[in-house]
Amino acid sequence: MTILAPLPEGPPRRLVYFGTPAMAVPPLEALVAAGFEIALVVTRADKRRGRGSELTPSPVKAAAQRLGLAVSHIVADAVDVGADLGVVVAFGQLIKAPILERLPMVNLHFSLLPRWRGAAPVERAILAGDAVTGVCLMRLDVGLDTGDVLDRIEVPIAEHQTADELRRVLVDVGSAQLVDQLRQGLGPGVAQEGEPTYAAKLDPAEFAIDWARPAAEIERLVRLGVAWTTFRGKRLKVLGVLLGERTGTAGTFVDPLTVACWDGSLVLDRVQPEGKPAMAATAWANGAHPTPGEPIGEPAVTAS
Amino acid sequence: MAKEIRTYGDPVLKTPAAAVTEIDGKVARLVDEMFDTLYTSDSGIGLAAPQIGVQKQIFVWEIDDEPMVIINPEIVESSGEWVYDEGCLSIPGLYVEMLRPNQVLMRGRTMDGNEIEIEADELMGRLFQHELDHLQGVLMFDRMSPDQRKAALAEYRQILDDQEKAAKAKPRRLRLS
Repeated sequence: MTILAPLPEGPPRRLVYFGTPAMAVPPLEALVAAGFEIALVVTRADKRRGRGSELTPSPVKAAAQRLGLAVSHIVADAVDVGADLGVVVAFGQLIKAPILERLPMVNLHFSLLPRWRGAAPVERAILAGDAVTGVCLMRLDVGLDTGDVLDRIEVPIAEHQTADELRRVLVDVGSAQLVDQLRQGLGPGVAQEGEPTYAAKLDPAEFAIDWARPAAEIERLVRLGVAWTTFRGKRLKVLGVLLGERTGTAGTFVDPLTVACWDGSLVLDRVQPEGKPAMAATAWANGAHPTPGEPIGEPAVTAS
Repeated sequence: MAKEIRTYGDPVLKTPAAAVTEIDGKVARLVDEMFDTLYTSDSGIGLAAPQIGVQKQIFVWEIDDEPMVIINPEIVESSGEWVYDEGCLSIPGLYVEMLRPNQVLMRGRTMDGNEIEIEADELMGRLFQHELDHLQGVLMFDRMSPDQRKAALAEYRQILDDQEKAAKAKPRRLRLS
């Protein structure tokens, strides 16, 4: 029989850090500032961005280079650097058994497991209207976010809080938690209890606002910062809305700033028209002059 | 000396092992080889004789730095239930959540030929059941429900494919240190 490498007894000294996006940078910086030795940083391969052919390093790679740390894109390199623990934060790739058999790892996951296992826990918690989420430090095993939880901290989701704001809070809490837990040495952990839910990666098809949905649901989508609609045949990003009191036909303007939806209305607060910078919705409405009753968004498909 | 570990597909893993009739020098040498093999694996904590191609009812294990051997073992009592991500040196890289009894009472003989009973639960209890299965020609796949087996076989095939790809890619691998 085989087992995954056991967690080190007592505080680990030499770490390998696995992370990729911007939210994985503060925990790395916190570990370095706390004096942990980072033997290697493993991050996803550089991506081509924009129209040019230049490769852009991941935010974690850029941070690692700034901190003077060795970087690799190959997960297997982690087992050869004499580390006693791997720390995984939003790496974006499953780590397989042959690696976990040789290097024990923990993972900072931004939800209260087993709720929102998977790639997009912060976004899914907001979309679902959760009042509370949190951060779990978890032992990494071969499943998708199924490992024993070593420490969990609850974080309330404030009304109208955007995904960016929530992410910042969670990363701050998680960075401190990670340093604390590693300093005091990792305990045995407890198995996850309860019915798991899965935080699937966001699909761009979800970003289009369906004005026939309830106002609260649309408001939560807007808080992710990716929602868009169409107006007079052009795309309009919707960056901020407030719940309105007026009602009307879903998908039409009630007044120049208010759009009716399924069960009420939303007042546009911040938008970004195609090819223009983000602006206050009032500034946009002054130019565009939406008229009451004018449709917004794709017209609903009706049976003819 | 460490021996090659037989993996899934090798007929020796499907054949029940024979009871040991005499604990002699040959058995002692076999046990040494089993420990050598166990220690050269990255993740092994238990190894049964058939896994190195020998049809004898012997397995060795090491948990908490305590090397142990048992000869002609049997499980005489088991109780409770426990789910654990089980892995096997003969199905390298695959871990499957398996439900089995938690506590077991195992009876067998030590290298001195004395009868011994060991009670164990959780990891050690699971190890006893897993290694005893090897002595009966039973692998993890045989303990799974049809659906679980189908998924596990597909996953194992993927693991083998990945390993093959990694082996081919090796010469081009960039090293940093």
